[in-house]
This record gives sequence, C-alpha cells and structure tokens, in this order.
Amino acid sequence: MQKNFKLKLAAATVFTTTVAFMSTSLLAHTRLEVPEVTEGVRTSNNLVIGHGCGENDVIGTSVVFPDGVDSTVTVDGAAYTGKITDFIENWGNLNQKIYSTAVFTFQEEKEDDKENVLGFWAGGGNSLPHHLAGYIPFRVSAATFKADSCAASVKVYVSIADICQITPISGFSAETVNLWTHSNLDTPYDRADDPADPSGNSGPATLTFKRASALPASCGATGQVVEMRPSAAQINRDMPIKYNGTQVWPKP
Amino acid sequence: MCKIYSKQFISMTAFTTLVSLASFSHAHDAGATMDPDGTVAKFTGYASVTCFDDGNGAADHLAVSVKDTSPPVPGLLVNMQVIKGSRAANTTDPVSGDGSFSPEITVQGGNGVYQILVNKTNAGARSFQVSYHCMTSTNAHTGTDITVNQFE
Repeated sequence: MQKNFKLKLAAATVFTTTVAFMSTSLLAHTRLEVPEVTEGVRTSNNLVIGHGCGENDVIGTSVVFPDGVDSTVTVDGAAYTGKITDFIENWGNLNQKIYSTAVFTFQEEKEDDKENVLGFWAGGGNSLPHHLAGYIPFRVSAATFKADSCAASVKVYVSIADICQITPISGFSAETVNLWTHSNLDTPYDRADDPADPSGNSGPATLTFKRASALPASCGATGQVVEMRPSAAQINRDMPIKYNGTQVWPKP
Repeated sequence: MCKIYSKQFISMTAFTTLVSLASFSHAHDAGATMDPDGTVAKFTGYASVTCFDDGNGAADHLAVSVKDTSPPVPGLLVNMQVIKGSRAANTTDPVSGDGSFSPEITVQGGNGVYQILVNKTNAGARSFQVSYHCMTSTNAHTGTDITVNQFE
C-alpha cells in the first residue's frame, strides 16, 4: 500500500515537472481563436491568452482594434492614402465584447465619441494562472466589402497587452506585462524590436476578413490584399484601461 | 504578489455599477439627444446599418421609425431617412412627446449596408429614439448591426 502510494507520488512528481517544463518552453503568443472570418457572417471569437509574464499570472488584458480614422492602410504592401471604408464599407463598430466572467470578473468596451467599439478590456477577480491558456470572448460582426473595391481580403492588426502587474509605463517589463503590439509605432506600448521582423508586425494578433462577394471583373482573379495598422496616436489613447473616466492601467 | 495586484484591479473597478448609457450604437432600439444646446438646426445623426443573415434568413429590407420624446415645440419635428443604393424613404414623427413612433418606413435593399439619417426641422434640443430592424421577406427579424458615422 505504502509502496503504491510512493510510486504514485513519484509519477505525479514526474508529471508535474514535465508539465512545468512544457508550459515554459511552449510559450504561445496571444492570438485570436478564429483569425479569419468571412464577409457577411457574424462570428463568435476569443482572444486566447497563451501564458503569463514569466511566473506571474495574468490579471487583465487590454485590446485595441485600428479605428480606421488615422490608421495606416496598405494595398498589396504599398501605402494607401484613402480610408479603410474604401474596402470594408461598414468598418467602425464591428467588434463587440461578449460578457463572460469565466476568466476575469470585470470587463468593458472601449468606445469612440460616437460609442463605436474600438476595443475592450477584461480584468480583476481571479487571476489567470501563468501556465494556462485563457479565452476572452468577443464577437465579430458581419463585414461588408465595398462592391466596387478590388479587396480580396483585409487583414487587421489587433494590439493586445496582457497585464500581470499594474504598474506605470516605467514599470513595464517581462515580469509585469506581455505586449502583443507593433514594435515600430514609437509608443510606450511597443514590444521589443525583433531584428527578424523588420515590418514590426509580428507582435499583434491578426484578424483577416475574407471577401465572399464577387470581385469586379476589372480587378482580375486574385484581387488585392489590404492590411491596416493602428496609428501611434490611437494606441496611446486607447490602450490604457479607463473605468468611469479614471485610468486603471497603466498606473498614471 | 499577483494576488495583491489582482485585488487592486478589483478595488479600482468594483466601486460602482456600470453606467448604462442610452446608446445609439448597440441595441436595435436606441436613443440620444440631438442638438443639446439647442442652437444647431442642421444637426444630423448619420449611421450605417448592416443587414445580414444571422441564421434567420437573408435580409429583404430595413424597417425604421423614429420617436421624438421631447415636449412639443411649434415648428420643431424630428425626421428620419433611410437610403440604400438608388432607393430612399423618409418619415417624420408628427406629434412630439406623445410616446408614439413615426409611421414605419422600409427600403428593400437585401443584405448589405443601409444609410440612416436622423435630423430635425429647426434649432432646438430633441431627445429621440430610433427603431431599426433588418427583416427577411417573410418579416422575420434577421442580422442587424450599426456603426455611427456622425452625430453633430
């Protein structure tokens, strides 16, 4: 009996050690459960938080979608001076938070002055253990591609901060926050430069809208690939978490 | 340590219940106040309503109406227009503050983006509610979303 117990204990120890090793060696970026959605279809989605900040649990997350107002738009990799609404006619209020206390207790949407949703945050209550994944639900509404545009797809970069400790910006570190953001926007929320990623785009999650309606004949068979990044001004304005007008994170 | 910071999050957020804004941009029946200072006759609310199949069927038309909830003022009425492609319609709430909506109008444009406008006949603050619903050809409610483009 005692021997069996010892064996079980030994097996459990090996299991724990293995899991601990795996959890620290297989660190996943925070990404969307459904990274591609189809035009005209409303899609339930999740932000998937992959891990904590080292050994620190995640206590909240802040998410920002490009507003399309002063965002940077490219077409087939070239700068485009027009608006995203030249391609997605109803951009501006497509992403809504789905209420859930499965991971965090508190949550709210981030809105512009017309109450269109630009992002959301969730935090407080239980912490997300640093070695477990957490699903934060939201909904992607039905996008409509502009009929006369040549866009075959529109990829949107979604900036995310997974918060492990509430600090001022000066306290940002690998132990306090995971920044899934662009590395070259020149904001305090930029993630560290990655020499292997000159575009600076490897940090954020992506959400790609795939066209379902027919391309105009003049566009050719493949159409254009459109991408949108947020402006630095928007990240500085919308990445902080505010509650009833008071900034909660980063600590002012 | 983590627990301490988690508690900070709670204390920062739990001190009051969430404010429920009268929101123009979420529900399918929504309210707001135009021209709160009462000086802008041209004040216009402009939004895009997207109709799509949410499982109830493809949209056939968008049905809208408007209700002026402010007390009556002579010569000051609230209007609403809906436009898609080459089709448009207009409705006016003929009696302010009586609790009744304007006559409902529809534009038959199938799935896609409809433009809706709310405006008024003169300067003066007007609180109002709009009702907007995408409907199938059998008059079943189907996918309806809104983006507010302008409110000034």
